[in-house]
Amino acid sequence: MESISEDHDSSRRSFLLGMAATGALAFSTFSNATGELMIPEPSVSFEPNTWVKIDPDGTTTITVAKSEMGQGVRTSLAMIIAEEMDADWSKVKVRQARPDTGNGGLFTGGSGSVIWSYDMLRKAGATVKAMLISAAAKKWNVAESNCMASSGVISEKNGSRKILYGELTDDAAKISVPSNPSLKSTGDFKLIGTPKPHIDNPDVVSGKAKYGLDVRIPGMKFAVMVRMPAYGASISSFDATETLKLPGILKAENVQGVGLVVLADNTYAALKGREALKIEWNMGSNATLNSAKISEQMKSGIGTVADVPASSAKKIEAHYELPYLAHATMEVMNCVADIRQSSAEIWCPTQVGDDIRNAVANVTGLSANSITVNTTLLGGGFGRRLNTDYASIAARISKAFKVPVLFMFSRQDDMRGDAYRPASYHICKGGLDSTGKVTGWVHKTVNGEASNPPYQIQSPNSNSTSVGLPIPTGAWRSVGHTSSIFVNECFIDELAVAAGKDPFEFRHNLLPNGKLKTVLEKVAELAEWTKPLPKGWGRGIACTDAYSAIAHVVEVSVSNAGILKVERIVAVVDCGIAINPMGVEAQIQGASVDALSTALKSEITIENGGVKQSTFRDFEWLRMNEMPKVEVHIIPSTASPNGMGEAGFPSVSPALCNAIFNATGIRVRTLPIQKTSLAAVDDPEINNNIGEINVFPSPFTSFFKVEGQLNTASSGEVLISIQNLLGSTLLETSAPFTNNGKFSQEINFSPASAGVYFLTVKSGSALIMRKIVKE
Amino acid sequence: MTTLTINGQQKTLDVPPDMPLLWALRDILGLTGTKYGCGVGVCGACTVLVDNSTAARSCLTTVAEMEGKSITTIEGLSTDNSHPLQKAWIELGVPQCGYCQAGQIMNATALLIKTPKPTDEDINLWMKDDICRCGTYQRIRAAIHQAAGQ
Repeated sequence: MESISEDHDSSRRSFLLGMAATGALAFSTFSNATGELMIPEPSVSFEPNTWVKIDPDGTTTITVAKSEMGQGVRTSLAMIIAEEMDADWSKVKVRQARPDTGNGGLFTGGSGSVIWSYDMLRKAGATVKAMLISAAAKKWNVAESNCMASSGVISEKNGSRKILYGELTDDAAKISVPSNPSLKSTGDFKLIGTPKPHIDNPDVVSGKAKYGLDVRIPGMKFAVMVRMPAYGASISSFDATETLKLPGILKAENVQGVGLVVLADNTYAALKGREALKIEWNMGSNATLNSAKISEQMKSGIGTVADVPASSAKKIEAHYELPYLAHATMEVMNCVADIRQSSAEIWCPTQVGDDIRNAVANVTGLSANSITVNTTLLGGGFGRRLNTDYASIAARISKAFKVPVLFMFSRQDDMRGDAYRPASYHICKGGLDSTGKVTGWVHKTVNGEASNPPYQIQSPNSNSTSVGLPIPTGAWRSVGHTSSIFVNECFIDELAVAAGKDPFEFRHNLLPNGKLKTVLEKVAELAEWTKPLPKGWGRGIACTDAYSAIAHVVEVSVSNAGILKVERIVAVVDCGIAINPMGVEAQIQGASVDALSTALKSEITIENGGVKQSTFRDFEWLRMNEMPKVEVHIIPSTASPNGMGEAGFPSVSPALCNAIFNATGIRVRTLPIQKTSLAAVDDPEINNNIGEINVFPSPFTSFFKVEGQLNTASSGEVLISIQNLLGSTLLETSAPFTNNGKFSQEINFSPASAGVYFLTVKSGSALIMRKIVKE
Repeated sequence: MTTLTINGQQKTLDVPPDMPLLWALRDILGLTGTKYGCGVGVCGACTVLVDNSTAARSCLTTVAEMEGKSITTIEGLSTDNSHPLQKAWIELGVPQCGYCQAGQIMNATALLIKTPKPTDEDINLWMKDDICRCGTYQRIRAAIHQAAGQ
């Protein structure tokens, strides 16, 4: 597989020259990865449409019009074309479409890439195969029905002749393009449905794969901008004297529509230069806004919530609250822009290549058709790259300074400059009759989403309202379903328990026959739903048909101290025909990590009018040692495919909370879970014979002091560590004993996010554990 | 001026001595396989191998500290993806977006140098500071075992 930057060059070659010369000799002038012109070589390529090009050596280049952000779309979409054209998969390369290459819209989101492309790409592939078969039949002077295609070879059914696709390019180019080629029946699929590693993996593991930040073009400079510390803040004055003295700094000045920008020879100089700026801020009107106030505003803004029928024998009500979430893609937002007098070229990791072109046109005044947009690989997307802010900024800077620039967010910029999954507040009410039948369902939300559950409940009442806040929000993997399905699947569980019913049976009885009921049954079977668990263990279940029908069972154990372990996750999905089962499995495993991270640990909070978190230290993600085994079962299907980018997310978090309830009797209704103590008793690991410790203040915000005495030790040192909800050690330090086993130590735990943690004090065999709360 | 060896080749860098190795690799030497993730040593995307023995966060390692040292980046692990970790990563389909994987592979390289036959627990402890935002941990663990011949 060639690297993506070469893909761009080869795609330009093909489209600029190959397209005009379709069906004839294509003389190619192109540049290599570093932009150096190469000597033209004559070649005969067969390029019947904008999706496929076959070279004489058999290399089959397939165009992919959707952005690769880890969901495997460059592999799955190429597989669809390769299937219908019976290509040799080992000879397939992928090139990335641009807005001007005639491959339709580039929008990549809503889990729609496979759904929207399936029929079109099958036809594109079938067209190629039909033309190759016609060419072979003509060459051999036999009927087309006597020719068959398989893995890049046409062979004669009643004879021994064989010819490679690459040997037919010249002949096939002379065949007229059929308008209605016949498609395979799904039973004849050889490639679709087989597990394939991503086609870019060889480039990824060799370091050759090019993401946005890896683009290097001649004369390119590096730019960062100053971000406001609060929403609505502005710079009242700045002094760039110290910045301009630093090596590598080119400019430190205001750019129209952007703000204060530092331009430098390299990233380090740009970041150092920004640090050296002296800035006076006007903090603006939101300077005192914080998460507590936002929570109050949401709660008071919910308005009237309908009631369940008064005749209900039993009524229950529950309130849920979800935090803002950052996308925190591994690759920060960035864009390379080369804005020239009358044209421009952009390299950008984006989900919306067409929108990027329009955005750059808007801010530069250039016409859209004079702007070339190259979509690079994306180091994660999750919806963040549906926005175009980073490209507009890059374009404005390049235009103002008249140089090609790589504009990037630092990690802190990225975490504080996101369009967040909205924080939301939800009230649910449910009614049951005396037999446990549901008599009413109400779900109202502020700033979240409330959709009707898939269950057969009479007159469900779901509605939403909003309160205006200055925090920008946007699409975040599975979007409104992140709140709607979390709440619905937690609340149906609460209703099941209130009705005295098994949560699986309760759901099962309320579901009409269909895919969702089938996956629910299958997940219960594979997760051994009815098998007894040890004390302190629990199972939770949840399901949704938001994207594909999917059901999860999460199994947890919770220690007396309140340390949680996610023991096992079982997922069953019916996504229609699974184009690449290896990709489907990866999406479900990955979405589980998203869901566990955000359910357990991570949140974005507002302090002094701005985002508090700045990096993965205070916006924590699940780690290797916290990763449970995720078992994925795909229901065999020949139905049209559904999307899998988002399906794996929504039902994991409610299944987890339901499992915690099953294990502990504690209903967690506010995320992240680490803000709730799951401890059965407060200080379970204290044995007075060993000694005692005191922690103060409690709760604490950044610093606390631990002092105490261990009876069994009087020399050496005491080891002090802090564990999170999952038992992972986040901090380790030590303190000397003063006398008689006494010790005292101040601990700085400021970088961590708010929540319940565990302090462990250890010396030799003596161990004391104490729950601590960080606010 | 700092002289160091990168992927077997001696290089002389005329950069401020406090420049992190990460930016020297990416912006000065054009070795963009080593990635920027957080810049403060908490995500692992920038991990490189020093003196063929230890893993280092190149975002926290200055160029001056690397004087006379030998650095291996993802580009230098093999010329043809033949390193057992690269082979296992491809075969088991580890990468999703792929952005963190160079760091994951370089840290796993250091693990296998120290512990040629790691257990799950060894892998969990060694790799726990390398974030994969796509959540490929399960396959990373399997790929390390496969590369170790387990």
